[in-house]
Amino acid sequence: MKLSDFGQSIAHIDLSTGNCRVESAPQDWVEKFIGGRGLGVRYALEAGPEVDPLGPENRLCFMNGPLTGSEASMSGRWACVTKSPLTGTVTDSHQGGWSACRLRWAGLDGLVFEGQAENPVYAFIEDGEISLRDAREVWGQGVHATVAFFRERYGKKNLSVNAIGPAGENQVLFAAQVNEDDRAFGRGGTGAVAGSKNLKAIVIRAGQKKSEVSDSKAWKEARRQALDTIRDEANITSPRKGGLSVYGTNVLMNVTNTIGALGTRNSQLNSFGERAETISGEWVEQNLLVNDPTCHACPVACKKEVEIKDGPWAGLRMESVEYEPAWSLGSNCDNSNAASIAKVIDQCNDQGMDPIELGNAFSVWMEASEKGWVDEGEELAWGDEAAMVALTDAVAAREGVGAILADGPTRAAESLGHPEIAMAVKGQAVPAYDPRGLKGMGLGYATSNRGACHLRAYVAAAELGVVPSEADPLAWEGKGELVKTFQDLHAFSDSLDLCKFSAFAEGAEEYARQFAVAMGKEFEAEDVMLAGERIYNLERYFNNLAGFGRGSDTLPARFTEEPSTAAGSKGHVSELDRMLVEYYAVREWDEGVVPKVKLQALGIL
Amino acid sequence: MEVAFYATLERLVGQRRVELPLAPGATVRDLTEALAATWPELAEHLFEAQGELSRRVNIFVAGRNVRWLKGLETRVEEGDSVAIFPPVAGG
Repeated sequence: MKLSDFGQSIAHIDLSTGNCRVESAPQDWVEKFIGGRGLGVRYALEAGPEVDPLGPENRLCFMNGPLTGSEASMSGRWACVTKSPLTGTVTDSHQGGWSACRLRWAGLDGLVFEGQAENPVYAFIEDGEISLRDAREVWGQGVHATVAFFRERYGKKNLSVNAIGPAGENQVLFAAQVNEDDRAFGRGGTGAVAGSKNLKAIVIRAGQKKSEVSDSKAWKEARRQALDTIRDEANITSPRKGGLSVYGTNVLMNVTNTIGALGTRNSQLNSFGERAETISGEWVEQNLLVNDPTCHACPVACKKEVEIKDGPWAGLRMESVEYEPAWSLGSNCDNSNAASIAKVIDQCNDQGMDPIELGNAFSVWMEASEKGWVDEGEELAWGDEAAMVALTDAVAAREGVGAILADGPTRAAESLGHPEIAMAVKGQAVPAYDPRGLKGMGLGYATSNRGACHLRAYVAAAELGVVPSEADPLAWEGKGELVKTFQDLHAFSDSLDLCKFSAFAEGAEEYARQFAVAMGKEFEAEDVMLAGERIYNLERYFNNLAGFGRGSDTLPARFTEEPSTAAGSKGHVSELDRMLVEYYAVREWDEGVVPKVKLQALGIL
Repeated sequence: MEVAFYATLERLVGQRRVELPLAPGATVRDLTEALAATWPELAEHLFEAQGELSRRVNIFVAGRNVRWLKGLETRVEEGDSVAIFPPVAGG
């Protein structure tokens, strides 16, 4: 597996005709857009930003990065890029586990699906060969049963299965794709796009391959330096010592609650009080944790398997109570029972849905119910766990109220005549950081190219005091430049494609060193930031062409007009307009639109 | 005065909440020195070698990170909650 050959094996699969061909990506694209997210966006742009996301013309692109499947730490990820049916923007989502590695080890760097199969199919990949096979036997099955079906057929060894569940088949607009480790392409509705194409699964069989590089000594040294930063006890990634490694992502719950940045009851409140403790990572670690497996080449092990010991869901063993769904289905819905949160997350993994979007759809319906805007018999009370569990399956099946919520919280709120209660940007629901208590995160939500998102610019790392900076979370000044820096850095790491959490330890220097040695070329830290900026602008260009012009970078009025009532952020709103002025200046954009001169300067046009 | 510890620091102290006999108006320096006297193993998490506030800890008084206030000289008023975390983030 010669790493510098990356980009030479991109498979194009026309689901309408069944034709498959493998060819090199244009060298110019690989040089400019690196791989993963960047290269995927370039392929999606080729289909045209105006395509119907659920039509056959839309492309569903799975892209590895140049380091995927190598010995580099945290390199077990791939990107899925498409035009989102939820937002109408370009979207990228990333999945951990081992699926990405198996694609690389099978001899392919990416898969570009287009068209629409007449009947349900799955793609089977082995030794660089792709075949489309009949999936009618598993159509209608959940992800867990689908994985079991393919393991029975092909054996468990060296096999990865990336599948949609009923939610994707029914084109729930926030349907996900989930693999055998319950790791997901979670956000943006990539599962609905797969469903629209009748693509049930991608099944890959491949054993591990060793990387080949021209300078093996330099490769070893570059990887060692990166690993040293991950292992450093001062970093949250430090194995068995850092907060992320010990408790997983949900180590955040108590701190965001403490600073008044934990949205509660559809962000009508900013703290969950003492009830946050029973849905926190510490509580889960002390009461439910049973195992903490890792993804490929990862010493952090942020995934925390749990088992529910008692109550109606006793015996349930599931993959992890991550921070995001612990919030979206927890404080956001006024629910302080970690067991019911675990149950709904597990349902989402099996049905193939994004629990962030689902939790926000629930909280919209709960607020509307409280205010008397929902028809009698269709109400959903705050914290009604049993109803949430039942409604989760109804959403995936598009039954009853579930059919309304299946289109996401933005459309659900619009259907009630109250769009103001959808906490969303560009149609995608907000994640677990209230922008009144973490102002940089609010700017990140507003300017994210895939709709509200915490991962396009994880400035929480600075605002929470994890990485050195002068980023007071309640200050708006300086956040424009901070957000741009994080967006560009993450755009690059998402294109390598390394886990986002690598950025808690590594930086542009470590990324550049590993990429340079892997590809056998000169590449410096400033090249990392330039490539990241280019990728971010490419996405923005796509969105501008798709109709997102001036004034598209917004936040719900609740965040800009209703002051926080919680300690830590009390009295604060998001000063979005002021931050946008700063941000557009450093981006050299015209109120959210990339000017032609900028596109030319970055080599996009 | 009640102080809450979270994540790995809760493990180190052995409990979530502790009571410290500090008068209202004491500073975070008073507080951290009292903590270090009771739990000497906390000292390396609280202070840099020069006695400054460590990068490996975040101390919140009434929900505000003292890093953005007056650091160790921040006063803790009566009724203020105090929460101490190691660096935590996720996603």
